[in-house]
Amino acid sequence: MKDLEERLRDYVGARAKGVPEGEVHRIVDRAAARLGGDVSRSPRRLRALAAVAATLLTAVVATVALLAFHAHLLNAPATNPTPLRLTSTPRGVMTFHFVSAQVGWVTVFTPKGRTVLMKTADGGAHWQQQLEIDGLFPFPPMKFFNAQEGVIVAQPGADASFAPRVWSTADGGAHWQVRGVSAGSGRLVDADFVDMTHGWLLASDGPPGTSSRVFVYQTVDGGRRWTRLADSDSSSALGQSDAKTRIRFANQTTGWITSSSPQETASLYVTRDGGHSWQGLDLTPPADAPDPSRKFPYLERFFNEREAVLVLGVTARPDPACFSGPPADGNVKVKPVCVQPVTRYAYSTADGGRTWSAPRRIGSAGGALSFLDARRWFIVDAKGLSVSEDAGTTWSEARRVQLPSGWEPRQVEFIDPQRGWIAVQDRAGEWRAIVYSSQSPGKGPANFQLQGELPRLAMLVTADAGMHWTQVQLPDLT
Amino acid sequence: MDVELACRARAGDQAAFEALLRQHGRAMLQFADFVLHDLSAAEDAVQEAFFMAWRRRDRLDDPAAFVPWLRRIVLRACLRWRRRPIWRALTVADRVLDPGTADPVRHVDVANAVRHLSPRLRAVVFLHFFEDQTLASVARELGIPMSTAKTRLYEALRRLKRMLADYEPPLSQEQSP
Repeated sequence: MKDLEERLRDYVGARAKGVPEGEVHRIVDRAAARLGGDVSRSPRRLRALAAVAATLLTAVVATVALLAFHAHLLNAPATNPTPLRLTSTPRGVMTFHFVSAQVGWVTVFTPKGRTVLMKTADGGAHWQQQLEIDGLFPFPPMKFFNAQEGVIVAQPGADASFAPRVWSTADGGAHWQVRGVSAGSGRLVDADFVDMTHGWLLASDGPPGTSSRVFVYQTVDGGRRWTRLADSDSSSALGQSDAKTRIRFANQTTGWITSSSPQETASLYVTRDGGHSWQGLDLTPPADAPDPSRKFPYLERFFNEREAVLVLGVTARPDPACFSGPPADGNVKVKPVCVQPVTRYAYSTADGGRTWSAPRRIGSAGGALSFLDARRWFIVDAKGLSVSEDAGTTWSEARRVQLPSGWEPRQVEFIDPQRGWIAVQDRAGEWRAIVYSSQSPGKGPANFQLQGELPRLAMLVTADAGMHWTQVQLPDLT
Repeated sequence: MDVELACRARAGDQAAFEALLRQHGRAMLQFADFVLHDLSAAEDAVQEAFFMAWRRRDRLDDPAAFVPWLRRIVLRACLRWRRRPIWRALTVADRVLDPGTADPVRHVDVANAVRHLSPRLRAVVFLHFFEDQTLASVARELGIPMSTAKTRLYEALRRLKRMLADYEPPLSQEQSP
């Protein structure tokens, strides 16, 4: 109870400290302006009336627009005739996931270094801000199973001073439960849940992308307790000197860890006993991959217990010079970001990963991929949207996405053949390095900043397989 | 000084009343922000409360107790504000806190738990843990019996403890043999 009171005291103090001093004078000025005469309507009421009027007007306009849109669809051209006009484009870096046409979540890493989680329950017309957390590395692993249940795994701070945390919700995000993993569990590399109770966490004791010791933890109670099942010392497979990058499970017994190694090979490690034991499997390298090249499996997805797809990124070596941030010192550390062309190849399996197809090259460098199932795949790049109905063997002609000049797709997701979303950003705001600082390294919180101006963001949605795209308005998070 | 200003304010001296508001305004805004857990709503509620306080200045029986009197008006404004449908529709998750020197996630955990307390419980928590008021003082400030203040504080802590219980990391890490 004493600890609770201390935490409460800290929290109340921190919150009170955040109330701006200057705001008070503005409020007093506003109140004072009303003291002289009894004003019957408060500014808030006037704003509310204005909001109601605006809502009514918007409803009328929206109805007219909807009717016009449907009429337009009957004579739809192949693409939007003119480039989309993107409005209200906040700055940041985003990821998203939709579980239905109406319900989806977006995380945005804002210019202030905060990770904001927002949910829409009406296809993006309105957004509810559900979590806002400082000090998280961008792009936390998140998985939403349906409109109610979801899990986010993230680690505050930059140097594993704080244990990874699991945020979970069972009511669509109205409430979030936060649970901590054991202290000293290492740096979070990746995590995956197959349902709300069974999850695995891959942690390491070294910096990202290096061949350091790794640990596999499992929870069978939604993150209350984590058990270390395997590590580099106990498993000869996991002890290989490569950089483990992802962990994915198809069910409660079968899972994969992907890795890339300095020897220019890409490897898979498979478990069929829930994560206790692991066996290695080398992927057949693409025949047309440049030599030398760096290969890294970076995206994989299970559609069911038998079918899965894995994407291998290949970059020519030597590596291009990475962007660098400010010089590191005791309080500021820099993780440079290397931007380089990536050629991608897809491997697929239909037998739970016992055998994998030969690699198939997909798309050009850049662009974004979405896998609806084992056969229907989507890619959006500078040419537009292409669709494959045969697991990447053949692709449709690109259907142009009329983005304004300087904008490019970063993520695409289709939930059925017709309905999909893409996240786009402008190239002008390319971020170059992740900079994190801490007043007291190892103890205090770290503040992440993406060096360089963050890009402007927008989200587009289509309900007709990419014939038309319309903008989904995102809240301004600045 | 406060008493003199309060006397003048009660007599209709607007300048004196404004001076009191500027002096105690931030404390009231901090209080309302904690009760509503929404700074924007708190600003509106406090502004409304200040206006109501001016209109009801003749009900200030004890000028020496200006702050508790104003606090009760602010609390009522917050409770009224919270009942408004528009506030509920506009509610968003907690704003970000200045993490200070503590683990930022700990703050978020507590914030999420506190958000599930009722405004009346939050009011007691704020006065006791931020202003370090005794339960007797809290009771006086809110115009409630001391037994009620005590019950509310106990209830707030009990609920917070229960909500935060799941958060605590396990004490030991299980290892496979």
